[in-house]
Amino acid sequence: MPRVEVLIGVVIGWAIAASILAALRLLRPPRVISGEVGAVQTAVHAATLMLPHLRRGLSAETAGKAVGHLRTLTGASAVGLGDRAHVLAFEGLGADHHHAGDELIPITAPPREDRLHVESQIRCERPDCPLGAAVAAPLLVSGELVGSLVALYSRGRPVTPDDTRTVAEAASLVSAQLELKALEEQQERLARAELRALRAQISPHFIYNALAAIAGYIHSNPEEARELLTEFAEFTRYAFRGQRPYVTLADELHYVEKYLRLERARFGDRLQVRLQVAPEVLPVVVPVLSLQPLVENAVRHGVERNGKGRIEIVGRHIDADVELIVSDNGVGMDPARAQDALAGKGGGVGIANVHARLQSAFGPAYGLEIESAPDQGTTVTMILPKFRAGVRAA
Amino acid sequence: MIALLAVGAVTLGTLGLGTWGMRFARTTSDLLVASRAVSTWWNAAAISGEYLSAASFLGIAGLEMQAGVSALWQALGFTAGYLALLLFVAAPLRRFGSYTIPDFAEARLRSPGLRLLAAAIVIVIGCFYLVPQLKGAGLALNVVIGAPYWVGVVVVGLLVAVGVALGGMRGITYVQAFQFWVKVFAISLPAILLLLHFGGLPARAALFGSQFPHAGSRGLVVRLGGRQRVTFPEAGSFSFDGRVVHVAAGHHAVLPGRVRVRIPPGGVVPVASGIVAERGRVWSRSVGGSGSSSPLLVYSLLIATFLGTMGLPHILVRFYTNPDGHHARHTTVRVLGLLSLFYMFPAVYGALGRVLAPQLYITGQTDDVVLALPRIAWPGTPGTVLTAITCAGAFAAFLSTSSGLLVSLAGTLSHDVWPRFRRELPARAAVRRLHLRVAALLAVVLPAGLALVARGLDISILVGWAFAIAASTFCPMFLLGIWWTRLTAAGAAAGMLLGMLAATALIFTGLALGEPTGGAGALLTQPAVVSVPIAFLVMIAVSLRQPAPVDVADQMLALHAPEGLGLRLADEELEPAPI
Repeated sequence: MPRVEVLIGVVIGWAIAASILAALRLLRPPRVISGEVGAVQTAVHAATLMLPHLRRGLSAETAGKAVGHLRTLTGASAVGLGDRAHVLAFEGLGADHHHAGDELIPITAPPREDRLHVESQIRCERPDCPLGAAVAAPLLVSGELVGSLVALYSRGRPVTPDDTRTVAEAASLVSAQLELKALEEQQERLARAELRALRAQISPHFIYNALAAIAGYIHSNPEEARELLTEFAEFTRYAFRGQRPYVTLADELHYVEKYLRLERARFGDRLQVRLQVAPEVLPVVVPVLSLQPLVENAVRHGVERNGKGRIEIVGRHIDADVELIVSDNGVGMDPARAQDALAGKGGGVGIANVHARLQSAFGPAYGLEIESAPDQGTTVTMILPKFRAGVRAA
Repeated sequence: MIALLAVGAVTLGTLGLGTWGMRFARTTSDLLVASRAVSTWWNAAAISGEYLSAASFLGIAGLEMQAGVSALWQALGFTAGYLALLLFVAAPLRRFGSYTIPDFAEARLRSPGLRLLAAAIVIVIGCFYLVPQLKGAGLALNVVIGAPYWVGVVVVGLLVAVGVALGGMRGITYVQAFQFWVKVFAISLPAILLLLHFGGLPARAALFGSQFPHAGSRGLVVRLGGRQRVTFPEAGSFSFDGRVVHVAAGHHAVLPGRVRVRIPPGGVVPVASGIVAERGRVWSRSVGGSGSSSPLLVYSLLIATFLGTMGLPHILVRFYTNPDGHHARHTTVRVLGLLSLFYMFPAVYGALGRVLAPQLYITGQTDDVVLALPRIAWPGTPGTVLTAITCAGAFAAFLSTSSGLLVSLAGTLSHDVWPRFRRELPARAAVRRLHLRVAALLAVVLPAGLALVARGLDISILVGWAFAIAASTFCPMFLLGIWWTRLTAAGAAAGMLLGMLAATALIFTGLALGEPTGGAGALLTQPAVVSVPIAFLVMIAVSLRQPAPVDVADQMLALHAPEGLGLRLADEELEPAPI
């Protein structure tokens, strides 16, 4: 028997050693080849390493991470990144007395918005400063000056046209990233504005119908009417309460139930609802008002047209992901129209907004899928991860 | 036959509950969501159900019979692990919201590379833990229907893989809670009946005196499947085919297979090689001396189990079902209670087994004691029925733990490893589900293969390694990650790698050397006392040599601020930082 154990030991030990080696290889940066190709590769590598940091915007933290790569990219003796007045990060020669937080002017005057600024000798209080010439390039976002990239060279080294061109290219690369970031923020702002619109939009149609249904109960069943009004009040509070981009699925479902209760007041038994949600998925974090628009759509297109119908809400887990399915047995629609609705082309902002918010929160692998055919009903599937760093219910 | 029926009933019940249990639909009018959340008792039973594995159901009693009551430290450690979880990890981790261990590693230390490393360790721990479950299944089927060892391994491996692949563990909380009560029933009923039958633990010399295990007043007859090399701890004899063989103390003998071998009444029982026969006085000593009750080994075991529980991948995901940190803590307290209830019983089997089932010493398969004891105590139908019950419990143990482990393994393969090579998860849910199924089928192959060759290793020893590795990798990452702001990604990676290397290196050295004894032997069989401090020290030292990580404050807030204070309100109206 011991011999078998040795064998197992060897097999497992080998497997572990191999997997560690593989992990180390994956983590190690690629080797650099020397020569002309090597230089290009180094530059490209530095650029690809730098870009993701600056995609997060220009701040002391991101600048600090990018500045080293910018130095490799430009081949300068030192590189500084600044906002409009101060140095955000500095690396290279002279880093002992030039650092983040300094005013920009001692290094070089702030560049004009549209052109490169070349200085043959920077003004520095320290006579032993090893730095000489400097090239300062503006960083522009939609034509507006947001900062500067300064490349500095050691004393006595003249600035060649190649240097200025390299610095200008590097600065435009940085600008492009910042521009992308700004664009992304604009999109987020747009999505947020749409969410606000979605909240404000809690359809007048629904409010009217709900109130009319409640009014119908006031004489026949005042107790029921009172309860429905309370539900209505809570419903509106959830819908209009700002400040909460994410909630737990339990909260959202709670709200969907209130909504359905009000709809049932109107449709009575003609609206059949089946809710089947695994308890394990209730703590998952969803964007606020993500499930309710889907259910409202199902009521409007699946039930209202025919005057009756069935809605099914299913929640279950696929390992680390969660699948929420809202389906109706209504009139359905063309598959092409369903895709348009997802892309936001077919009128209503609801579904497209939910899809966009899911993707911006969880990445392109998550979002909505629509399956539909005329007279076959519509099924909308929402897929979300059980956990995503930074996305928390408030 | 009855046993087979019971095993089948448990299996079908599990798969059935998992698949159809969720179909009892509810309409909105009758219940609110709040009441549909899983209560802390259900959750605690589910966690205990997933946790109680073959090691708890069969292994502890088997090890106790072999090595003495010092084996019960294991049961203590298995339970106490939840105390560590309760004190340091449960609530913060639930507030943080992460679902798997790789999720936590990546999000807390902001390092995608660390996610891959954590995923690799999850796979190692999962395999180490899955092997003993499958081994237990092989043994159980062997005892019940006499099927060859490999049949049980393959059948249970397939059953679990197919069950997971078909999404049979969908209603997992209720299934696991059901399994927990099946296990408690199956281990407690025969134990209580045995105690009633024998009027308490018999005060026999074999338990406490200076005697070695010996045959009862009517002698002992065994029929071995093949030749078995044994050692006589003191002078004794055996007879077969009318011949009588006398063996001197400490001498080896070879018992012939396929014939009735008889040990005379009151004669000493020989033990299989690999087992050290202990006198009653030594056997009943909980700590002290050398061997299995040496203080170093006991402490090492306690460290491994106390700190390793929080690093078991299949346990941590169960805490996600709690709505918040407060509930997570309450669930953990209930788990402590439920586990304590269960662990009262395995000790009964180990002690009675030493007196009533000494033939297991001859074969060396003391892991069988829970299954074999009822039939030895009541040779007729009652014994068969009770054996069926313990078998059903053992199967519940294999099924629940291996399903949970396999789900974790498959999830890690399809969610953490696969996208690493394809850069992105597949967008469609259907494709993703397919990946999970394929991963489940793949993930069972390696552990099943290892289980086929690992027949000679004790279940508890194998599980002990899984705990040792968890304690030397994920435990320091959790404790420092949750309670220390200075931890860096590189520090965590270095600590986990070295912790795992130290633990596995010691384990494999021990395997290569055979059966080492003395102080070094203790370290080689249970390396936690060395590898855990190594992991902590490396993590702290490497982290301190690096610049302090920035913006840890919101991570700490997310981990520690109680819910409902509104401290984590992500401000929607906040303007983006100026560019």
